[in-house]
Amino acid sequence: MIDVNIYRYNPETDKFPYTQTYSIKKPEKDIMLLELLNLLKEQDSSISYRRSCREGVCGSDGMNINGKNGLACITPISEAIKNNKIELRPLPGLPVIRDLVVDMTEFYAQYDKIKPFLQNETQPPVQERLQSPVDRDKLDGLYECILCACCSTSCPSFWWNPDKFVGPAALLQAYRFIADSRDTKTAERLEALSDPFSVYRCHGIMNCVNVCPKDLNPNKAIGEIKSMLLSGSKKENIIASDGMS
Amino acid sequence: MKLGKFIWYLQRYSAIYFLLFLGYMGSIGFTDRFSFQFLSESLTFKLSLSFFIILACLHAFAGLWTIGTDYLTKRTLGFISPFLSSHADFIRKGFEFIFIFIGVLLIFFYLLIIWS
Repeated sequence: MIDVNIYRYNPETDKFPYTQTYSIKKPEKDIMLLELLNLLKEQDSSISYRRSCREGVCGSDGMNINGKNGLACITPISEAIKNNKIELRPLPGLPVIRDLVVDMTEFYAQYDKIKPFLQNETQPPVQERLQSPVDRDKLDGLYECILCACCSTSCPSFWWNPDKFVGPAALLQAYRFIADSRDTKTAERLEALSDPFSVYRCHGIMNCVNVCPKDLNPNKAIGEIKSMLLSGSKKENIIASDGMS
Repeated sequence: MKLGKFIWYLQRYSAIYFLLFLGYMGSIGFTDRFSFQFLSESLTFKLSLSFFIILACLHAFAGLWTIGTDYLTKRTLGFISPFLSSHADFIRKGFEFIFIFIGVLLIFFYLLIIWS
């Protein structure tokens, strides 16, 4: 049997959050945690969690699994289980809507702040803006982010100042556009991050790298942004790295 | 220079200066030059020590300001009590006033001792 401790909170009925323990027979196959949650939901239909693609692409089922953020759909129970126990909590630092479902408004507000779209004021070509393979390589390890919020919600700086510190996920995306040869607003993007909070609140503890389910390295991207802010180095000096990770 | 960049450079360069000053102190301490008379008369020592004290206070200011803006906010104090949360700005400003006041006092009295 496996004991699964789940954080429970329904603001309509509960005054305070609590943890509820469910015992379930250990599946013969090494199934993913999301499947285990689906089995538990058959026992108790009131358990709430987000899920969609069940293959680590949509980023909906980010949660805190035994103290470490991750995606339930790509975490095998053999990896999550400790002493026949699994503890599931919502992503830390964000307001809880219900059980494992968090309010992502602050996270998306930071993402919105970095203007996550290509900005180029030159006349667009007939078909599309082309990019050399070398310039395209610079985006590897940046564009793959699925915005699951595992990184940002594992970052203490984001916990303390979610309205001011942009957070690792959004900073990774900020660098994705800074590094893009087709984007011409590099100076404006850097200017928007030059205050003492947006980037400089990252102290490089690398929790974001440790939890990223896509094995990305937001810390390295943040370091590149800091280098550009401090030394004034240009977009042309960016060299492609091996997937940033 | 932007404030974020200024604070970043201040903390790094001051830390480098502390290391250099430590080396300078070591170089004095292990020679027969080390005496009260030398310390009270050497212009190089007095200047470097004065600079050390000013930088130490500025370095501490940057660190304490960061701590204040991390832990003394409406959000973080709200984990302790709603009352503290509602007075977070006042508490943080008070905290900042105290360490600025102490820093200014320290700089004043240390410089007074060194140069009088």
